[in-house]
Amino acid sequence: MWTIAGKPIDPARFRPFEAVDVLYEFDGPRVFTMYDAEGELNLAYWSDENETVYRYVVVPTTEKILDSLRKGSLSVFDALNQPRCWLCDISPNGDISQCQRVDFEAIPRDSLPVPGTMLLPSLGPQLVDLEGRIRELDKDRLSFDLRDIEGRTQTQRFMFDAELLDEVVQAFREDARVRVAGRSFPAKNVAYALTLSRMAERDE
Amino acid sequence: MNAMNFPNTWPADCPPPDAVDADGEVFRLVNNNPPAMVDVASHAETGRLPRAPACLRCGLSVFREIRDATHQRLLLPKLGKLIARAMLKAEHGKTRLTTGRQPTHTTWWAYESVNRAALFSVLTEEG
Repeated sequence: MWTIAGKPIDPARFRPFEAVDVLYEFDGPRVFTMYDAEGELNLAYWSDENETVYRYVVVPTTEKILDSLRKGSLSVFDALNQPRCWLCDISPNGDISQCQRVDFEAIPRDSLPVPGTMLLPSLGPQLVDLEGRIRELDKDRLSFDLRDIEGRTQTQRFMFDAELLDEVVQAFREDARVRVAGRSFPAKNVAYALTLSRMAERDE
Repeated sequence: MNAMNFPNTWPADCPPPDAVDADGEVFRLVNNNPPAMVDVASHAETGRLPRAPACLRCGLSVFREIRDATHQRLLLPKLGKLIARAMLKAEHGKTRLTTGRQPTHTTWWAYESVNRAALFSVLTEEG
């Protein structure tokens, strides 16, 4: 098990080290909230383990941070990256063997979530590949609605880079059917267009 | 040892009555290539999480979709560097979706005679 410099604290601060709300579970709670002895809310993250110890990163948190985690507007790494941070080692029977105050930056990166990783896979960017017609073009904000999407009644709002502007404007003016591929961010209800291509018109 | 028996050390009614015959692809993070027994040991076998539900401790957590395993590798790097896949059949035991917050999280209770590690093959290289 890895070690880093830190300041030992009284483990009683985090007893009984019990999950209040489990945010990610796999063979037991891996990311969860817990209260400390003063009743303050903390976020705990399973970081590593060996035969005798489970090691958790524990940081103070807020309902606002947790809400952002659940909605996918904040990554787990960013939620853990707080000015105050502790490492707690828990024995297999659930007792705290030791806790120490540490610098978050000193924790080995392979014992933390990869930056940008959301709490659940469904909260991360998803690939989209849709056919439809461009409406509600906003050339200043570089965005448009894609409508008349086959098999869908809903429109999809897209953002795009300036390099796609000419193609988007032309397709909009000609009312052409286009195929737009990109990435969607479900939590933000928006997609980013990466490519745009003209499609043959369907016989109605 | 009967090929279609569960270990007699497991609790009664384990696997639960609503578990079904194992069938189809499952994915799990592992650290060894080829996967070793240590990669597919249950908590009951390792003695971990003694306060967890006894029957769940006898099963092995897997995902039905590779996307969930890929995400888990990013979220919890120390769980395993490699993604391994197994194709389960009825002769390998029983499974039940135990989803919680992960839609494809599945618990697999393997028959006593099944060599779990040998069923998995690594899909991804360490990256």
